[in-house]
Amino acid sequence: MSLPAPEPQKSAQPVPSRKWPEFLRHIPLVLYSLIIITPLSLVFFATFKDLSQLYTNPLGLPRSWDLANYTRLFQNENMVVYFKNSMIVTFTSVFFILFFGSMISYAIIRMPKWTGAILFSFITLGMMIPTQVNMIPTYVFFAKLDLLNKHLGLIIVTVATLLPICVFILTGFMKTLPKGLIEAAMIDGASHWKIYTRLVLPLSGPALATAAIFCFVIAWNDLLYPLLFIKSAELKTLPLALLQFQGEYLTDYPMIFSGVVVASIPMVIIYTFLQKYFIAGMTAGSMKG
Amino acid sequence: MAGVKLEGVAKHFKGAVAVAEFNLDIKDGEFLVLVGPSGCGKSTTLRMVAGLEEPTYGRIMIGNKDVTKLEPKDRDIAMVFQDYALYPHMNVYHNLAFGLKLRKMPKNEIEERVKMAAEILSISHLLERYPRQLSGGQRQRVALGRAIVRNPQVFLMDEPLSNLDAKLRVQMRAELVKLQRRLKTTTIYVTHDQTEAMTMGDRIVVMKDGYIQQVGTPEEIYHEPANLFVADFVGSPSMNFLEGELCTEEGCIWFKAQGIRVNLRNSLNLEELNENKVVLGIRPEDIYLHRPSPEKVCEELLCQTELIEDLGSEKIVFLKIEGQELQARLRDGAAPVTVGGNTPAYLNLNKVHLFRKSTGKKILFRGR
Repeated sequence: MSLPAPEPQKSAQPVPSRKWPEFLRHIPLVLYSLIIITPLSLVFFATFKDLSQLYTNPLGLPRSWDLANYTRLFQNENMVVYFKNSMIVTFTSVFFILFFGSMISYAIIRMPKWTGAILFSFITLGMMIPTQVNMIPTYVFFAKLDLLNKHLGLIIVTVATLLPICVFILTGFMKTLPKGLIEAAMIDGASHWKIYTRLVLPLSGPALATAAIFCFVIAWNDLLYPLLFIKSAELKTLPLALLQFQGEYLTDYPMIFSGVVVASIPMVIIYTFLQKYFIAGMTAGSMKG
Repeated sequence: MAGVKLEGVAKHFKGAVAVAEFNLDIKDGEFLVLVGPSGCGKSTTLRMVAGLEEPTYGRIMIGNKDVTKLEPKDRDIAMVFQDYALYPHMNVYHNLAFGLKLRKMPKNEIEERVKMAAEILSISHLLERYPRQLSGGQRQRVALGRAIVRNPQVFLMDEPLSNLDAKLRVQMRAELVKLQRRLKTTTIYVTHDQTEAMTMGDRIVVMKDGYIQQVGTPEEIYHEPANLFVADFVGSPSMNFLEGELCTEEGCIWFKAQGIRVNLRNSLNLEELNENKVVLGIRPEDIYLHRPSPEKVCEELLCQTELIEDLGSEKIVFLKIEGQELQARLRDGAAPVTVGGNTPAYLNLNKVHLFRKSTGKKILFRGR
């Protein structure tokens, strides 16, 4: 016996084209990109112009791709020294921020709920206090400790000011780690230190990358504390050094812009390498795994 | 290997009782199952044995050692978690070896033990893989491997099969029992699945609201439930219950409910009982829809057949009598019954259970 042939399907309604709405959705993104890219391009182009060319043609392309400003920056100015100073201060600060921040965050997630919540609130309260409020007391305090005009002082103050952000990011992430993992490690015989180093730190990679980038950008670009603490030319960091191109009557914009471009290179490199983790860290805990 | 002893162990969370006084002696090499509905305190009890929760009162002994105040790592136990809790950044080999490395065992001994555990669980070919590259069943085996590789005194298992699909669960259930018999390690196993409890445990502890309801072998729990809760919780379909009263007529004890009269043909001192409102319980397989052999003492009730569920090897027949519902189990080969008609149902009086309505406790009336 043969089966009856299936009835031909009724022609389906055509799916309405989604091209137009999708294009509409991209408009804000395109506009936002333009807002970011335009000034960046202007700065980048300006580094290939001299001062007169910049004033006569501020928005156009440079007449030639002349590296004179960059050459001057590295030959006449102590750019290598400033770069090195910035590297020392920023990398050391970020290292200690992550070191202390991850330990504090681990302690917070392992403490009894309320104690942890109180400690967490207490530390993150630091994010809400503007730097300007602490400026004078910090200066006086560091002067008494003989930490002014020293990289050590700058590192200590950077670590102290950025630690709350790091704790905020890391605690949020560590709370999403399955409790069972830590309990399994406890039963396997791991001490707090082993759980922290062998389990929590390796699993917190995305959050550590996020915190590292956040703190790196802030520490690298910081002008206020170097301005406040550093007096000697040989100890200046990049942002502080760039200030010397700004005179009372004349500002050497091409030089400033060249300095800014050079200064942004490490950030771009670091972001490129850590981007994958950065995005994972930013979205951690937002979805059920 | 060692036995486990819980003496008056209790756990209170902010005044709420999670586990009330828990007394139990688990023998060396025994497979003990804690079973009960969600929130009954079974996992909390297990976690207290593991050292992950501190008891509010009481004492926990493993072997002859009081471990109540000891850290989990010092208790010589291993635990298998519901979600396996495998370290995601370590491959299977390192997951198994982690505990041994922490105990500073020589490298060659670690290798030997990991290989042995992997062979026992047939996961030798997975040692280089990461947990994310494994199926649910394979992860489960690795979690078991992590427990057995340390050769602990006690295995603690917190619903280890609940994340597996039905078929794999049945397979792993049998494998786990075989493994435990082979290793002869004292095991405490937590589950909410009564089938798992019945098929795996040497003894079962049924819990509810933090209290032990009954401790016994699977047979005892099934055939001699201590109260209404146990009778209802264990068995699928669960026991049938009829609410009614007891009275004495013609020298016999009768169970009477609206339109139902059952001569229990048994001696029972109703005055001693001090209560005549009872619940009669009978398991579905003890209700026959065809006249049984004469040696079975049965009471006949006329019921309506409402529905038949054909499960292949057996049929579950839904019956109604005077507004009360009963389920009968027909084994393969039993003559067919039809839906909608009246059918006589024979209650096996040797298998009838009586419970006090007020407390739910079992009334012992047959000297069993």
